[in-house]
Amino acid sequence: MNLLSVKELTKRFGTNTAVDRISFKLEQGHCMALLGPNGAGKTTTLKMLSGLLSPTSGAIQMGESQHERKDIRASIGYLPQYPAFFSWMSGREFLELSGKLAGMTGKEASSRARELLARVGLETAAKRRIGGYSGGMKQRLGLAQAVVHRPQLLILDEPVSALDPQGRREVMELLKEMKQETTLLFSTHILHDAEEICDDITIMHQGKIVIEGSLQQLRRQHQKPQIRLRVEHVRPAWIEELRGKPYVQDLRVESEQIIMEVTALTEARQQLLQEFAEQKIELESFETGRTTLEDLFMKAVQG
Amino acid sequence: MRTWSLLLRKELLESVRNYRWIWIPLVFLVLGIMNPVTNYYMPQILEASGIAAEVAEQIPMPTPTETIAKSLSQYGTLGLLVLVISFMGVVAGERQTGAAIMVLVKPVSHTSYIIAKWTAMTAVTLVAFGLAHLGTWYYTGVLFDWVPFAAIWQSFLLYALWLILILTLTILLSSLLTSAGAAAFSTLAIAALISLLSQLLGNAMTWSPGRLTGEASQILLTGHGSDHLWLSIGVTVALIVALLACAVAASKRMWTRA
Repeated sequence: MNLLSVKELTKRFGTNTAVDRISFKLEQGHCMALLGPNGAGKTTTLKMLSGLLSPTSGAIQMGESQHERKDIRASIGYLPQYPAFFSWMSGREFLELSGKLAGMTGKEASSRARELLARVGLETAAKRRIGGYSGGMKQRLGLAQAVVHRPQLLILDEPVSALDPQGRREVMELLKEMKQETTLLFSTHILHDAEEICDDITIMHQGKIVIEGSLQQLRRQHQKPQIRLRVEHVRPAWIEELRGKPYVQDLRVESEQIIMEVTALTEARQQLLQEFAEQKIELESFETGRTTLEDLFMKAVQG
Repeated sequence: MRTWSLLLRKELLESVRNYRWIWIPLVFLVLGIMNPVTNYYMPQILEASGIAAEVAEQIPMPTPTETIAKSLSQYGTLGLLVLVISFMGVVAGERQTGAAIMVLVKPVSHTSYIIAKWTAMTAVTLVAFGLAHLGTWYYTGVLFDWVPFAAIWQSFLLYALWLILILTLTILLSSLLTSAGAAAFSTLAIAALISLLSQLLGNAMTWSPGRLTGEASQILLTGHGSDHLWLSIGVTVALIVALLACAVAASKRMWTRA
């Protein structure tokens, strides 16, 4: 079942189109990562989905029913990229307020706050002012406030980007847990994070969706045989010659390494090695493999 | 209603934690009580500053009602400044730090959000001004003579209405402008302009909210307001409602458009 359907969603700020007619669907219980470089329109998209920003045009639909006119925010939990809190409140007070604002009774909110504080490891800091929390603690508190009302959809904007390695690990572990309970949509510019917990990825670039699909499917479709080699004395003419070979689909030079996407690996390897021997090219390293999702990502956002 | 009362409690607690509940009433109290006390010690003050006793005797002693009216005018300058400065960031500040997102991402209407802030601001102000006015009345009564209480609470209501109008203006400008400082400056400039115009064009502006401060003094001095009293009350109440509606719309616009 689709929990969220987005159709032709567009947001313009003046003449600048931040999000340009994007459409996608998110299945209930799935985890989707919204990938893209800074400025791709991820934050704007997530803000529209969480009801903070109104779209210029397009439709956002939660659930199946067309007639659901309820406040979308009641069924969504949102964590902004740079969560800011009322620094004079304690962690517990803030969570209780969040829960009550989302419609919980005082009793429910207070027992849920206690449970969540324990879960995100803020038990001992619960009574301290948020003003004295570290960045990682704030991020974990932010995560707790996002799930306090047990939302159907959890939207997180760059949940780990600003954290140190340890904080990052803690939050990733929490996300893995939360993924079991709810549908998760989060943005990141780091592919590795997406691969670690998500089923589906959607890559945005300049306000448009450039690639989308399940991780498995993308790996299958986009992983191409690849040859990486290093030679001494690279001549530009020779690289051009390589580029012209029928089995070379794509070629780029990255820090003195020549990276080629090829159609048929066995054939390409044989011919290349033969050629090196004939032309007495001094080969330093030769490696075969497959393109990674990272390559796909880089290609998508550069092209 | 529910989110309004939750947010109101949050705002009131915030005012406790950042000591607004202490220092705003304190400033008002000092401003108010200073007048009867300095008037009481005026002969000694004059003597100490070397003015001859004959000259000092010729300086007329202000009446108790004049003393209280003088305190009112203190609130109009310094008191207003304190209020506007302490509340200038009430919306703009929260928006700038991003803390407002955490509230507005929950199912909370901008109406609840703004009105809760406005209610809390009004509560702090009424308590501060009420205490100060009562204190001034008390000291004037103890040191000079008692002013009838009816004049006190009537002047309180009129003056409070003027203060509430300025608070409403503060919250509107704080919602409209991105900078808290700009909001404070424009609020004070508009308040000064209203007062000035109401004084300069007295006859043409009988309806003006700026007349309320004058009416409050007049009630103290003569026991009754002018013929146009109800007109300016009506206009002020209508303005407060309209400005609040604008503040709600401005807050909504700021969030959903940009």
